[in-house]
Amino acid sequence: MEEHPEGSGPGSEEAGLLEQCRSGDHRAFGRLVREFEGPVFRFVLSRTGDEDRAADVTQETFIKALRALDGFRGDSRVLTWLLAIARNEIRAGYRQVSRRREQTLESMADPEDPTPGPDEQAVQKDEVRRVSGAIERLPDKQRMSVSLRLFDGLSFRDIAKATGTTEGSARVNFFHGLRKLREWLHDQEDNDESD
Amino acid sequence: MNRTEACGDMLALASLHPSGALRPEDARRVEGHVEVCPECRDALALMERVHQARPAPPMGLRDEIVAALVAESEVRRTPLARRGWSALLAAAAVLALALSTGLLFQAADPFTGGWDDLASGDPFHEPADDWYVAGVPLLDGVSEETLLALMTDFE
Ligand SMILES: [Zn+2]
Repeated sequence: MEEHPEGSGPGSEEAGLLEQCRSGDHRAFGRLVREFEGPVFRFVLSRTGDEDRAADVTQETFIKALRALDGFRGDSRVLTWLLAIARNEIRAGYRQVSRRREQTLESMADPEDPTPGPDEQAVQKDEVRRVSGAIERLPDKQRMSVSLRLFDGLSFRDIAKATGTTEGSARVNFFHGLRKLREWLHDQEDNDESD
Repeated sequence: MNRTEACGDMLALASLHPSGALRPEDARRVEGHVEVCPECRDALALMERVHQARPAPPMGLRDEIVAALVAESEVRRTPLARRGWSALLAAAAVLALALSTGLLFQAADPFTGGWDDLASGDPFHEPADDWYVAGVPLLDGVSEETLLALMTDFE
């Protein structure tokens, strides 16, 4: 099943954006970062488990990408390419003086969303803590498959490339991870109800 | 409706629904299926929960990155002569290191493709840690003639 709308190369929109970045268009940098900062950050976070390091590697990934733009021949999607650079950055042990940054949740950081009231925020935080806790308990490969797939909608082929496994394993890891999450979260809810 | 063989494929498709990565016609297929299949409906609800719990990059990181990209592109656009001798000296030092390790001219080593490899072909091969030499990627995209000319300038 061809599951990914963008296929293997960048869409014309992505190609146009890269072209503008190549010509040094500052607004295009903004669009590039807005589009891909989240997926790159989450990928690095799922591999390193360290938010500050994930932020630093994300920044370095974009800088390396800008330097390498002329060499990007457009036979992969931009995100796939960025994740390859990020993966190399992680392996190179990139380390910079980190600033403590305030961690936010994507679902709470959306300026379009009306700000929830305090009660609603507490419930939301509880729910997020519960789900994130369960995701963190997953074995590495299952955690990465689940998060790359569900957070950012990567194809199993791209997950396989980004995590150094086969497409089939990426798929199996995803479903095993998902099944565990269902068990754990259901169990927790049963316990909560009996409290 | 009982769980059918098609449910497996449907779930694989449904797992792209929360992030909005599905084509509209596939999204409609998933939505039609979960209306009549409680098991897939539960699974999709769980996948939505996971998606909602995704972490966001720290506040301010986006601006930092854009500022870094702008600064980087300014450096790239500034002619070499105006960047001063320090940049030239640094480039020459890196070049000398690269030449002395034979790195630049080893066609078969795992990382000479550098960022070109990342951009195409098999970007995910695993270079051994030994091949990370500081600064070498900076020379990517510089032609051999330019490098030799640089060297000559410093002789
Ligand atoms: Zn079903």
